[in-house]
Order: sequence, then structure tokens, then C-alpha cells
Amino acid sequence: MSLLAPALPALHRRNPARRRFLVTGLVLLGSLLGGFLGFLMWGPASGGGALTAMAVLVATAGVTAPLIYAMTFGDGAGS
Amino acid sequence: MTVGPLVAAVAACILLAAWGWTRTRDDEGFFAASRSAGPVLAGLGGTAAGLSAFVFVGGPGLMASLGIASLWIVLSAPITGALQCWAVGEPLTRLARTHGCLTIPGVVASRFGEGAPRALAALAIVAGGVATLAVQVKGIAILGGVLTGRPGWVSAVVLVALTATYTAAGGMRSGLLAEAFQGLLMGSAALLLAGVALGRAGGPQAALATVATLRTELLDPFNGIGVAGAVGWLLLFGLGTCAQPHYLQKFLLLRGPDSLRWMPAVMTVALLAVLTVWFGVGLGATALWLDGGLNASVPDEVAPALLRTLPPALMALAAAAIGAAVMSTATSLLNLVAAALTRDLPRAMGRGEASGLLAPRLATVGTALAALGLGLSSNRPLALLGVLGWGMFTAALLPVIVLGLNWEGATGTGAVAAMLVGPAVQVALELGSRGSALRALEPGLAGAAMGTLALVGLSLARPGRSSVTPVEVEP
Repeated sequence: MSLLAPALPALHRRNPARRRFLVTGLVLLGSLLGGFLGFLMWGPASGGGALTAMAVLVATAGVTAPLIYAMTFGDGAGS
Repeated sequence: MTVGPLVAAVAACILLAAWGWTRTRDDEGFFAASRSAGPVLAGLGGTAAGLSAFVFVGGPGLMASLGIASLWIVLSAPITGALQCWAVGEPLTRLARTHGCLTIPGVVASRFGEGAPRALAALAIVAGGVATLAVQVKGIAILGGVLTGRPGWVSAVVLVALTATYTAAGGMRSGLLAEAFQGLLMGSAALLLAGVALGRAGGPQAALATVATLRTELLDPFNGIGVAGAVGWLLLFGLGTCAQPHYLQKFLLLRGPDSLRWMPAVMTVALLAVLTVWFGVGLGATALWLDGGLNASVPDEVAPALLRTLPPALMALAAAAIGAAVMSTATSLLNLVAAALTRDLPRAMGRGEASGLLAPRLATVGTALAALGLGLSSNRPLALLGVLGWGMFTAALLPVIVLGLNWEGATGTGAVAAMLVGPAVQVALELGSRGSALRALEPGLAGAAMGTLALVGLSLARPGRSSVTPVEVEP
């Protein structure tokens, strides 16, 4: 079961395990890359801008990663 | 400090030990809490066990010395809960259910076969576990002296004795309850301490302005560590959580696979709550220190210096949270080492483990005494053993746990090679690369990378030798 399925028609609707792998992996990877880019874009010159970027990243990833895991839980069962 | 909170803590630990003694009757109860944990207990307990007193004192110290670059260590926190459950929680839970595994080496044996795979995993847990326990003892001895005004060894002995008492009596039945409570205490105290520290510095914006004015480089995200160091920390502490046995153990305590669904949410909330102390106390205390409001000679002293200025009630809460961080980590490690010594190593050598709970209880007490001895002895061996903590677990177990449990092509030969190569590379780099270009490599990660190459290479070279023999079926 996946509540994300309607929003992600291209992600292998017929293969829940692969869709789960892709969705979860993309969120995790995106969070890490987002944080890294945030650091690069807002360095010390912005006076704490990196902290702002980090706060946004932590809040976003902290909410979305557990939520996506819970929503896609069981999609990969038995795979 | 008054003795009231200490008396209450001692009484609670003795009651918990008595409760655990009467409820724990077999190996499954002692090592796996009778598989009774739901997502809240396991999530809180895992988070508490995974976080040591370093978060409360060393983290703010790193903020004072490196600035926000230190946050690379904790930047992966929002995703590690989901990552753990997804990458290792699901296969661990499945194998534990199928083969009745009670320990991490038992899971490794059920996947790769009896003998060397189980023995190497158990040895890694014994070495890394005792070393980590010793470092905890040393840390609490230093902090205890600062916070209580009494000799530091007194605090270390009291905390280790209390932890060993309820862990030996009730195993993880008592341990899990204690860890979950300690996780709640740590999170609550961290939020309060972070708020107080930032408040004293005039709020986050004022603290940032102070740091920007007096030490601009502390706002450089790569200050002192460079891009490679930052990415190394991010990967080591992000991926490394998938190889820490005191985290992984919690998956073996779950009452069923469905408990995994909301476990990342619990873990993430608890982890972020505790880590506010790193940022809040780190930023607030650093601003106060730079502005002359705190008396500290080196960055590592800013957190203790701030704690000394707190009202008695807050200082007691901070001391309790630091004690909880030490005790929760110690509980899991004592139980894991006892399991490795009395269950896994005898099985790996073809001997049956002793029946009953006397042997694991004695092993728990013996491990606590060994850690006390190591931790309170001279600094020199401790410094050497310190390398055997997080990095050792990562180097030895990450390839086998993450790749080995998820890739059907992984073989027993590859797993054994990975658990030999990884720690060897990690220890060699820790001890032999000082002053050389190799120092740029993060030892734990480098060990895990080489172990992964060994696992993949040997599995592909000699395919079809994987063992999935159900070697640990409970009666």
C-alpha cells in the first residue's frame, strides 16, 4: 500500500518495492544534497545564513523522511 | 547539590532491578526483553542508547572550537531513523523472527553460517563495547568532579554500579524501560538547557551577532575541517548509525514487524530534541564565552562552565540528563557484551552456552568492572581504546549488516573477509596515519569502504557459498 502512489504515477506503479526504494532513496539523497548545497550557497558572508539553511533542511527532512517511511511501509515486504 | 535526587535515583534503580529479576526467566527475556517492545519504547530506548554524554558536553565544546562546522556530525539526524529502519531494521526483524535470533552476531550467523562470522561479529562487539564503556566511565569521572565537587571516580562508580545492578538483574527487560525513561529525561533537559543558554546570550539572533562580530570563522560551515572532512563526518555519523549494535539491538526487541512503521518518527523526534543541546548550549555558551560572560580556558570547558552558573535545580537536571546519557549507553553495551561472551562466542566455537541466567548476569558485572578499571586507569590505554568505539563498529559491521543482509549474493567468505579487513584498516589508519597524507581519510569510513570491497569482491569471485542455515532456532 502506498498513499504516495497517486502522486507518483511514473515510479513503477506495478512494482511497490522498487517504487518504495526510489521514493525513500530520493528523499534521503535529496535531503543530504540539499543540506550540502545550502552550506555552499550560504557561507559565513551571510552571517548565519548557513544556519537558516540547515534549520530548513532539518525541519523538512525531519518531517518528510519518517512520514514517507510510514506511508510506504510494507510496500517492499517479501521483496 | 542535595542528596535527594540521588537517593531517588538509587531507589528507582533498585526497584527496577527487583522488577526485572522477577520478570526475566529466560534468554529471550534477558537479551531481547521478551520481544515486548513497541515503537515508542524501542525508539526512545534506541535513541538514548545511541547518544552519550558527549552530546551534552563535547558537542557544545566542538561548537566553541569549530563553530557550525561541528554540526556536520549531527546534520544527518533527521533521516537516520528512517534510514536505519529501512536499510537494516526490516531485514534484521525478518531474520530475527525466522531464525529466533536474540543477538546481532546471531543474525550474522543465521545469514552467513555458524563459526567465524558469528565469532568475528561477537569479537567486534566485545572490543568496541568495552572500549566505548571505558570512555563513558572516563567522561563521567571528569564531569562528575565538575558537577558534584567530589572526586570524579565516585560519580563513575555510582553510575556504573547502578546500571550494572538493574542490567544484570533484569537484562533488557529492565534495561529497555530504563533507557526509554532516560531518553525522555535527556530530551526534556536538552530542550530546557538549550533555551536557557540561548536566553542568557540574548536569544539566537543576538548570539549569532556576537559570534559573527568576535569570531566570524565560527560561522564558516567548513571551518577547520574542509569539505572532505565535512562530508566524511556526514557519512560516518549518517551511515554509521546502521552499524551501531546498541541501536541495532532494539530491532530484535520489537513485538512485531509492524512496530517498525512509526519507529522512525519516534526516533527522529527524540533525536532532534536531544540534539538541541548541541546547537543551543553550543551557540549560547560560545557567545557568552567570547563576550567574557563565561570563564573557560579552552573550548571544551564552555559547557561545564555554563552548567556551574545554573540554579541548583537546573544544575541537578543537567547532571541527571548527563548521567542518563551515560547509563543508557552503558545498559545496552553491557547486555551486548554479556551476550557475545556467554552466548555467541561459545556457539561460534561449537560449545553450547551455559544454561540459565547466571552466566550472563556474571558477565554483565564482569564487563562493568573491566570498563571501570580501564576508564579510571591512566589516559594512555584509554586514548588507544578510544579509537575502538563508533569507528570500530562502523568498520567491522557496516558492510555485513547493510549490504550483507540486503544483497542475496553476499557470501560467508565475503562477510568474514569484510569483518577482518574493515577493523584492520580502521585501526591502522587511526594509529599509523598521524602527520601523513592518509590523515585526510576518516578511519571508520575507510575501513567500512575496504570491508565493502572485500565483501563484494570475494562474494563475486566465489559465488553460491552463502549460508542461510537456521542456526539459531529457539526451542
